[in-house]
Amino acid sequence: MVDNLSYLTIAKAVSLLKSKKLSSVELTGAYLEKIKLSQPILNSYITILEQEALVKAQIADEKYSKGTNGILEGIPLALKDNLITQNIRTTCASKMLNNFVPPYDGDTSAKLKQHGAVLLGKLNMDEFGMGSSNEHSFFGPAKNPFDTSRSPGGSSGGAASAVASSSCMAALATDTGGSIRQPASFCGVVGLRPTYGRVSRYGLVAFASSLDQTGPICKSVEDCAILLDAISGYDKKDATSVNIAKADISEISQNSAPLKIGIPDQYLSDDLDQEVGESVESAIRHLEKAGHSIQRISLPHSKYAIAAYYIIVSAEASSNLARYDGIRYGLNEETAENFDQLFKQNRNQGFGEEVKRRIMLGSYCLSAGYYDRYYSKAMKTRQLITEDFNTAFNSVDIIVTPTSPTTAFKLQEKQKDVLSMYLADVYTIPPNLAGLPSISLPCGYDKKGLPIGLQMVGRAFDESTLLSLAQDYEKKTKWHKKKPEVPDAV
Amino acid sequence: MQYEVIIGLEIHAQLKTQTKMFCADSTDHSEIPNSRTCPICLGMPGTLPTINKQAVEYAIRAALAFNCKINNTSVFARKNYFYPDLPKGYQISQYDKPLAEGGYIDLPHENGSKRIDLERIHLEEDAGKSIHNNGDTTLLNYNRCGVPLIEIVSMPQLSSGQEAVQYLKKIRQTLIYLDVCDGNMELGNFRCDANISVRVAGQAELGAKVELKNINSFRFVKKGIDFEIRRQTKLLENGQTVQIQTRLFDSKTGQTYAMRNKEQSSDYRYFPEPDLLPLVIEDNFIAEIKTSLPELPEQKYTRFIENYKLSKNQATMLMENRQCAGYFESCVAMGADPIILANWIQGPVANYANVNNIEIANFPISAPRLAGLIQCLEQKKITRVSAKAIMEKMLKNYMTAQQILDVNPQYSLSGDTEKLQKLITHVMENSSDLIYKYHNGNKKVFGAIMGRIMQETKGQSDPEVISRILQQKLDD
Repeated sequence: MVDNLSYLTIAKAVSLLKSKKLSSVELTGAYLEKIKLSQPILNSYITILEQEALVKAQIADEKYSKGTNGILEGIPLALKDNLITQNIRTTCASKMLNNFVPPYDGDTSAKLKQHGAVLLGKLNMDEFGMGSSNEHSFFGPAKNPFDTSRSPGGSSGGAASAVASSSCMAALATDTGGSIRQPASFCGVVGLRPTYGRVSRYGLVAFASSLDQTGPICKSVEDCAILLDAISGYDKKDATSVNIAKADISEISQNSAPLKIGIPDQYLSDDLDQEVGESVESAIRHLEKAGHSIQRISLPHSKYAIAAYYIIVSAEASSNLARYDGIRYGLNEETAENFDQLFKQNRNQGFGEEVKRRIMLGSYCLSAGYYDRYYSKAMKTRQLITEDFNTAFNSVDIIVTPTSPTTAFKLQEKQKDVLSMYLADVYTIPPNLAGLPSISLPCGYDKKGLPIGLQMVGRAFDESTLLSLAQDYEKKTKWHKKKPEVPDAV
Repeated sequence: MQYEVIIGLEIHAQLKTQTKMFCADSTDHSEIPNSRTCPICLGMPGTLPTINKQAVEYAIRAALAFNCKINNTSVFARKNYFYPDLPKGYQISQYDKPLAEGGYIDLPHENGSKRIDLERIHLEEDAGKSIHNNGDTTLLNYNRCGVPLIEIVSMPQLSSGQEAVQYLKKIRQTLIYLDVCDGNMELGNFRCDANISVRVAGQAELGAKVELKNINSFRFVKKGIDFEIRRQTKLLENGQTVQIQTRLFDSKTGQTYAMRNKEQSSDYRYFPEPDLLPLVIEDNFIAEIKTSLPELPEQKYTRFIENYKLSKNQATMLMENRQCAGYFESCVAMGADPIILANWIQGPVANYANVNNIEIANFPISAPRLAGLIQCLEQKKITRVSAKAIMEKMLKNYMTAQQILDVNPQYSLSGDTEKLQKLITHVMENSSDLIYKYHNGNKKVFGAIMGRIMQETKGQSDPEVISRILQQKLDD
C-alpha cells in the first residue's frame, strides 16, 4: 500500500505505476481515504467523485498493462470547481450553479481525460473566483492545513488546501489576480500561473476574461511543469489562446544557467510583513549565491495596479455574470410576475455578497459618463504597467517578489475590511495585468509555522526559464519538504 | 408653416452563412425551435465565441458594394442588457470601431438622383425570439441566437416614407445580388428600424427623434413612417412638443404606439469584447473580395440598356434579381434576339411565373430551348400566338421549338398558304359590307378585315403575310 502520500509527486507516481509497484486503484483508494479524513476538517472539496475515480483508476491500470497509458494515466487529480467538467456538477462555489451539470467539457478537463488522469473531485473556491480567502463560497470556506483556523487563501483555496494536505496529488486551478499563487503561498505548495493565452480558457467559467488563466497547483515545480505541458496548447475554440510552441520543459531539471534577476524597488513596501520580507530577502541572497546576478529594477506604475485591476475585473465580471438569469440553467425561483422580477429574484438569491459587490462596481464603471473616467483609464494604466515590465525585461530575465505581503490570515479576520483583503494580491496582480507567467513556491515559514511564498515572474511565454530557476531553487532548499499535520476528523 | 422631415434607417440584414457568427450551429432558424443551438450560442458557463470568417467576408462584400471604407482594425464590443432571449446578457456587436464607415447609395430622383450617405456598417449577432402566449407564458426559441447580422446605418437624409422604401429596396436588392443575404422580410432576415424627426423648415437643430420599431415589410415602412410624420407634424402645428420615444407600429391599426420614453432607455454599458481579439483585416483580403464582387444592379441596368437596347422598363424588370438577369443573358448567349426575348420574358414567361408562383429564373424551359423559340419568332417562322402554343408544348416535354414545329406544321407561317388563301377568300365573301366601304375610299376598314381573318386563323398566321395577300385580293 501507499504509506506516505505526502512526498509522492506525479513524476514519482508515474514511474511506480509504470513499473507496477503501485496500481492506480491503490493510489486512488489511498487519496479517497485521505479525503474522507481531511474533508470534514478542511472542506477542500465541493464534489467528491469516489465511484467515478475508482472506475477510472481500474481502466488506467488496464491501460498500463496494455502499454496504452497516457502521460497522466491513473494520476489522481482534482479540479477547481470553475473548470467545466462534462456530466459532473460544476458550481463555481455559487448557489446560482449549485445544480449545474454541464453537458459539455472544457478544454483542460478534456485534455486531462485524454492523458488518462483520474478525477477525484471538484475543489472549493471563492464564488466565481472572487476573493482571496475562500470565505466567499456557498459551501463554506476551505481551511488551511497548517492552521485550520486560518484561510488557505483564495480564490483557489480548496485546491491549495487539498494539495498541501495530500487530498489529491495535484490540482488545476485558475488565476485572475493571484488565485493560484496566493493560496499556494499560504499553504506551502507550488502554484504556476502560465502566460495569458498559453492554456485555453474554453471551459474556464469566466470571471474576468482578459485575465483568467488556468494553471497547476502541485507539490513540486517539476509537477507544475508536467501539468503545464499536459494542458497547454493552442485551442481554436478560444480566440485569445495563442498559437505558439509549448514551453520546453525537458531541461528544467538541469542546473539553471546564471540569470539576471530583478528585484522591484516598489515591492519592499510598508505593507509587507517583516517575517515575509526577511524570508524573501534570504531567498534572494540564496539565488545570488547560486550564481545569479541580482539587480534593482523599477516598476513605477505598479502602485496603480490594484485600482486598475479592480475596475477591469469588476467591469468584465458584471458582464460575464449577466448570463446567470436562471432561465436556461441555474437557480430559478420560478415565481415571479415578470422577467425583470424573475431576474432580480434569481440573481439576488443566487449570488453572494462579494459577487454582488463586484457586479455593482463593474456596472457603475461601465455606465455612460463613467466609462472614460474609470474603465478607459484603468485600461491605459494597464498598458503602462505592461510597458514597465517590458522595459524591466530588457535588463533582467526573471523578476522576484514576495507572493503575498503576509502569511495566511485568520478566517473572518478580513471579512469586514474588503480593501485590506484586496491587498493580499498586491504582488500577484501587476504581472497578471501584463499577461506574464509567474510561479509561487515556498521560501520559508514564519514563527507561527505558516508558509511563506516566493514569486518569480518571467517573460511572456518563457515558462521554461521560470520553471528552471524555480526548480533550481527548490532543489537547493528544504522548504517544500515541510508538511502540515492535519488533525484527523475521527 | 412648412415642415421638414428627417429620416434615418438602421437595417439589420442576416448574412447567408452556413453557420452562426460565433459558433458552428446552422443559421437555419426556421427549423424546430431550439434545435439549432449549442452551449456557445446558449451562453453556457465557460464557453467562448470565435469569429466566423465567412460572415466577415460577406460583410466586407456588402460594405464595398455600398462604397464604404473598410477599417483594417475593428473591435467587437459587448452591448449589455437583460432579456430572456439574450442568453449571455449581452449581444456581441461593434461599437466605436465598426467594420466599415462612410459609403453611400444613389436613389433615382425626379432631378437625376439623390445620394444617401451611410454612417457605418457593422457586424453583430442576432438575439433569440420570444413568443408571448396569451399574456401568461412566454416561449423562447434560441435558434436565431448568434445568427450573423450586418447593421447598415444611414445618415439622416431620407425625407419621406416613399423614399425610405426606395432606399430599403435598393439595399435589399444589392444584398441579394451580392448573395450575402436572402432578403426574406417575413422571416425577419431583412428588417429595419426608422428614426424619424420633424422640424420647422429652415430650423437649424433637429426635431425630437422618434425610433420606430417593428416595421417588417415595405408597406409597413411606408405606412408607419407616414403616420409618424403626420402625428409629429400635427403635434407641432398644435404647438405641442414631440417626445423622444421608441414607438411600435401596429399593422392592424396602421398607427404607432409609444413603447418607452427616453428616460427609460437603456444604458448598454458597451465595452470591448475581451473574449475576441480586435478584428484585423489586411488590405489584400479586401482587394481579393473587391475583385470577386459581382456586377451590381446599377451597373447591370446601364449595361442592359446600352448593350441590348432594352427599354428602362425592360431593364428594370430583368435585373430585378441576379438569377433572372442571368437567365436572360444565357438565352441571349444561345442566340436569342435581346429585344424579342425581353418582350417574351416580360409577357408569357412572367405570366407563367406569376400564375405558378415561381421566380422567372426558375422558369422550367432551359435557356437553349427558350432561345430556340425566340429564334423561330425572329426568323418569322411562327407568330407570337403560335409561339405561345409551342411554349405550352415545350413546358410538357423536352422538345425544342423547331422539333415541335416539324411535327406540327400548322404552327408554321410558311406552312399552308393555299389553306390561308381559301380562308381569306371565305372571310372576304362574308365581309362584303367592309369591302364595299374600302372600295369607296374608307381605307381604315382594312384593319377590321384583317381582324376578322386573324380571328379565323386563331392568330397562328403571320399578320404580315395576311396583310400582303389581303392587299393583293383587294387590289384585284
